[in-house]
Amino acid sequence: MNSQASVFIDANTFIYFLDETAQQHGSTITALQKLVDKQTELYTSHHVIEEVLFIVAKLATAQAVTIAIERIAELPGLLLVEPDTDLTFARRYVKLWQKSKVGINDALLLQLMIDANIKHLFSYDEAFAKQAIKFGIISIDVQ
Amino acid sequence: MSVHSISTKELREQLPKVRAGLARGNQYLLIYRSKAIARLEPIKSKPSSDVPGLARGNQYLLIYRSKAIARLEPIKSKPSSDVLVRGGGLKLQANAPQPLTPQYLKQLATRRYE
Repeated sequence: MNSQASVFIDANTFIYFLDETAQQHGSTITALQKLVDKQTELYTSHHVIEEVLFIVAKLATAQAVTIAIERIAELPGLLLVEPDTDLTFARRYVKLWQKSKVGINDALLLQLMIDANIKHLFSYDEAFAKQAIKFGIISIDVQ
Repeated sequence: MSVHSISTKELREQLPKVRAGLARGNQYLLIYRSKAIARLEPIKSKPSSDVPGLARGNQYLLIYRSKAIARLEPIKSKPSSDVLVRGGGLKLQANAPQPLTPQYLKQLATRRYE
């Protein structure tokens, strides 16, 4: 795994981080541990957290949602990046959406990363990762 | 002791509150334009006297009434981690109707707008 100063964590990564029965669980924990050991800054956003909790709520119980947010909160040094409190942020990600092939949600996340100067992404969504490269955001190597 | 995120604007406007927090042993992550740029922590030993720019990897001292009350350190100087990433706690795949591929997770996520 290459050295990364800051990495944005996508919703699917959190799901595999939480799900002990997922095939990707082991590799996700190992990759996150390496990032933590290298003192990489780990970022996500409330938008991603909401997506994770929605998926957990769909697949499991209300108690599982509580466990999910508590386990995420235990991830060492996890920081939240959030947009400006006015609509200039929305204008920027709409422009980004128009010139890319990502959905509005992914455009919002890409804009967050661009604004926060986060150059690396931890996501298992290959289509999203492929689009992110066009904006100078590189996926981390999980192997 | 706890760590709180605080923006540069909040630091300016709520310095007395932050100072009280430092006195209680709290630490702060200083956020500028959505990015953590420094760690603000209480002085525990005799402070160093140099005060150059954070961007060059040095530290600032926060002075209140002629007394150093906190050290402002660049993020890269944070102590090495000895914390294990735990995760787990859920058995989602075992109860899911189909494999939890990234594509299926994305499909599930879009349902929150339906």
